[in-house]
Amino acid sequence: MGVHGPTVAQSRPIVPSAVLGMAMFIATETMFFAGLVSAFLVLRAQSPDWPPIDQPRLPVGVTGLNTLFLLASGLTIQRAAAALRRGEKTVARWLRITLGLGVLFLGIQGSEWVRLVRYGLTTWSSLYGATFYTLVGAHGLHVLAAVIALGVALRRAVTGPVPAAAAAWLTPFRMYWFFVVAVWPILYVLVYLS
Amino acid sequence: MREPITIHARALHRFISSARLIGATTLATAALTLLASPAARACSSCFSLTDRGREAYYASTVFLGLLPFLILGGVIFWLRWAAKHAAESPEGAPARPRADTAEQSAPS
Repeated sequence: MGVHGPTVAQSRPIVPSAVLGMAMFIATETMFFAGLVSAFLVLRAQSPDWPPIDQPRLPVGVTGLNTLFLLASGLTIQRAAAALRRGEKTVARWLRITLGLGVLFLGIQGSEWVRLVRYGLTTWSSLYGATFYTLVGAHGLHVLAAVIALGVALRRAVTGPVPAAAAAWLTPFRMYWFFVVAVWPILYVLVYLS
Repeated sequence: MREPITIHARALHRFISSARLIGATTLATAALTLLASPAARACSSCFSLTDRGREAYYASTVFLGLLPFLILGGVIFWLRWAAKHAAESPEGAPARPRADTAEQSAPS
C-alpha cells in the first residue's frame, strides 16, 4: 500500500474477445459436424450395400487433388499470418492466394456435384445421396462463408494498408479457416475412401 | 386466519418432500428402468437396426457424449496455457494502478 492507497491491477484479457468468441463458435461447429458424421456412420453401418449398387461412384481422384488445394490454403493463410507478424508487405498476396485456393476448391466441388447429379445421385435418389450432399454440402457452405468473408475483408483492405486492417480479424479468421481445412480430410476419408 | 389455499399448498409440500415418498419414487424408477430397458431404447430406429448398425449407434452415442467434455477440456487447457504464457512474457501482467482508483483513494 503506497501513498495513493491500494493499487488495483488493470485487468487485461489473456485471450482477445474475438479469438475466444471464435473458439466457442468452432466448438459448436465441431459438435455440428460430429452429429452429421455420427448419423452418417450409423446409416452406413445399417445399410447392406454402401455405396448402393445402382448409384454412381464418387470422384475419388479429383476430390483428392481438391483436398490438396484446400490443405495448401491452410499453409498460405499461415504464411499471411507470419508475414503480418513480421511486418512484411506480402500479407495481401498470401491472403489472395488463400482466397484463390478456396474458390478453386469450391469450383471443383461444384463441377463434380453437377456431374454427380447428371449421373443420378441426388438427395432424394437414395440415403447414400442424401448423406453425401448433407455432409459435403455442409462443409461446402462453410468454405463458401469463409471465402465470402475473406473476399469482403480483402476488398475493404484495398482502400488502406492491408496489415493494419488485417491485424484485428486475421487471427480469429485463421482459426475458422483452419477448422474448415481440418474437417475436410476427415470427411474425405469417411465419405469418399471408406 | 389462514387462507385455505395456503394450507393445501403446505400439506402438498409436506407430502412431496417427505423422505418416504422420495425413497419410494426412486425405487420405483430404478425398478422400471431395469425391467423396461430392453424395450425402451432411446433410438427410435434401434428395433430395426442390424448388429453392426447397433454397434455404430452405441459408438456414436459414446463419441457424441464425450466430445463436449473433450472440447471444454481443450478450451480450459488452452486458456490456462494462454494465462501462463501471458504471465511469463515481458509485457504480461502489467500491475499498474488505475488512474481513477488512485485519485479516489488518495488522502484529501
